[in-house]
Amino acid sequence: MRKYYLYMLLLATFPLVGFSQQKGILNASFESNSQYYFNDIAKNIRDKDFASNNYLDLSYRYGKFEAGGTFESYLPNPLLGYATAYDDHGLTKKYISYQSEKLNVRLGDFYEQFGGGLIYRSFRERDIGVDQSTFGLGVHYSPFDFLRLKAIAGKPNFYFDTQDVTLYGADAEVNFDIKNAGVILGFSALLKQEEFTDKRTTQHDNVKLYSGRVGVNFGNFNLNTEFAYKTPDANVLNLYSRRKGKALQISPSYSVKGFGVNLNFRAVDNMQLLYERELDGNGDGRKDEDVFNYKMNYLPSIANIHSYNIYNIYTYQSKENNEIGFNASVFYKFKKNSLLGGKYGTKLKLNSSVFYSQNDLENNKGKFLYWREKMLSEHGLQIEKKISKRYKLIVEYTYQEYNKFLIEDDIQGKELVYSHVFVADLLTKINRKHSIKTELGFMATKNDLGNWGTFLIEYANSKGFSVFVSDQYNFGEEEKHYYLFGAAYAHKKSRISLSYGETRDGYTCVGGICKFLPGAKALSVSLAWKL
Amino acid sequence: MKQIKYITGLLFILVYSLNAFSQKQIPKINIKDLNGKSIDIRNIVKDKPIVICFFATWCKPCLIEMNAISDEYEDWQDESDFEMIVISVDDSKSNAKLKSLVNGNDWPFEVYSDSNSELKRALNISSIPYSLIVNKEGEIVYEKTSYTVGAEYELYQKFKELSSR
Repeated sequence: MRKYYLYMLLLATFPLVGFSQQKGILNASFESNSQYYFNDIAKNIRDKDFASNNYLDLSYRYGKFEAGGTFESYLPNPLLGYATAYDDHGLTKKYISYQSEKLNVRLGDFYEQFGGGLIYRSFRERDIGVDQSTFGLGVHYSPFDFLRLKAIAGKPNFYFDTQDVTLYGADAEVNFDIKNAGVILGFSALLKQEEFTDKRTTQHDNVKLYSGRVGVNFGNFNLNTEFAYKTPDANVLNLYSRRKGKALQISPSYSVKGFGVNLNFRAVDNMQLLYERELDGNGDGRKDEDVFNYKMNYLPSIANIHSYNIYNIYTYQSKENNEIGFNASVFYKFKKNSLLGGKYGTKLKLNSSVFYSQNDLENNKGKFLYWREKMLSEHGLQIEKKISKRYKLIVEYTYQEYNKFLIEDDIQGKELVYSHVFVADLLTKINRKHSIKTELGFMATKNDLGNWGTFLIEYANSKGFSVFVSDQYNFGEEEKHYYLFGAAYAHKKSRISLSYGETRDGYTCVGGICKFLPGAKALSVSLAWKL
Repeated sequence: MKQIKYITGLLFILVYSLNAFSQKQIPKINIKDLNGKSIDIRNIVKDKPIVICFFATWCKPCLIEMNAISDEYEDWQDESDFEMIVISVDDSKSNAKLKSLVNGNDWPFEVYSDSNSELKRALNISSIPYSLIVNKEGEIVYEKTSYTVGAEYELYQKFKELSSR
């Protein structure tokens, strides 16, 4: 309780300082997401029907100095998908920082990323409960325009605690030109320390990580590559493997006005990097719920990110210890007044994603750059056409092969699921103020649970008000509706939304980062406000 | 009891915060251009009023908004020197895709990348799409969260109104 009053006092002083010092600037924002559960499964996971996640971010800047913190609350319960042990509140993400033209020093909790994040990325995505800041010291120093240095030392946070792991790392990046080509070179090194307590086996306390990257821009052509390497990192999820790990990412792209093509290739072997190797925290059983907040590096799926509801039946999950594959896309715009472009132009998008496993898991043998067994193959075409001032139509077709056994570790799902997905999306502008959006989706498959259909209708006005109703229906084994309806209103910096309905067990994704959530029948309310 | 304390505490802070000064200036944060080169955002938004839109390649309402503004961009520029930059919060694995999507869609505005959301967090933006209008002194004079169809005209009206001051 004393802690509580201390926080209140501390937070209350921020604006007071802001008042007395005219040059100071206060930043504040508040975010709240709550759910009331109606189904038994969700109620059993939570000990109460009601769950609420709340964040109040405050920062105060005075000249080159800034201080800030977040008041977080998960009372009476955190939302589904968050660690149940954290039904608490408190002050987190406390920091002070100094910023000058060349130097930035942060003391306290911070987010940081080295290169593409193959060995280290701490970030936040509150919508799916990811928040993995590091507590310690972080420095950015740029003595010249062409050189950028970063260094960190600290411990990873886990909700209100820090983990028993220490990190030391540094990253350097230089950019220069060779004739007409721009070149960017980067190198990172990181040391992770955690005492190995199980004396029955001999393992190292330290894990060393390195990564190097090269970026080249030449006219319309771009190439980015990164290679990462780690020493053995025995943990509960890789079954205390003593193998080394490596990752390679290569992404070339070429684009001119109206045409773009890119490839993103990645191979990873034994690269799932965790902070605490036992994921145990205090041994309170939170490991299954919150693996993402133990992850030290960033290797989510690079497959195409779909935005239509029908695709969340089979969502590809990257395999950070064992995966090879690529995503390729082409964007093309048929010009206005051309044969295929018509009056307003026509946009075309092609996409292919193919992913295989690499390793021989039965014999625990590592392989690199080896295509062993297909996990996902997906090829799609999308056409976007403005028909008139009033109508805009998007149609999409995707052929998908999804290996349920390998992707979901589902022993019963031994076969590949072959499916054809169709989407039609019509936007009707009644006038400048009112519009209606209609989406239809259909997935045809003879495998697994059979065919699926979805629809969404949404009315919106230009003042920020919208209301929608949607449904997802299984025509096969389940024969079940998953309906949802709701409304939202946004005004300047504030937004409120309300929805009611049922969701399936499955992955919820934000920008390709996905988290498994158990299905729920719930009333949801979200609020966002900013000073 | 615990909850009551918490809620009163929170209200107390909110009331206090409302009385204080809010952010005005664009902070010094490095973002990257589509070739991966770091640039201080303050060097991009200076000397002229400008609209900043936060978006991501995977965000459906963001794409609708970008395409809607793209359709009107030339007309608005002729009419009132409308200028906009777009900042993607896609992570760095999507960088290659970002560039080809921007060019493939033939968007007329400059696009930058804030790949670990540093700028987004510094501006306390909780979700995208999010638009800001910055005046020629680099001060934020208008902010708008989310996007509904037609809201681009309201944004443009606001821009005209504020830039004529």
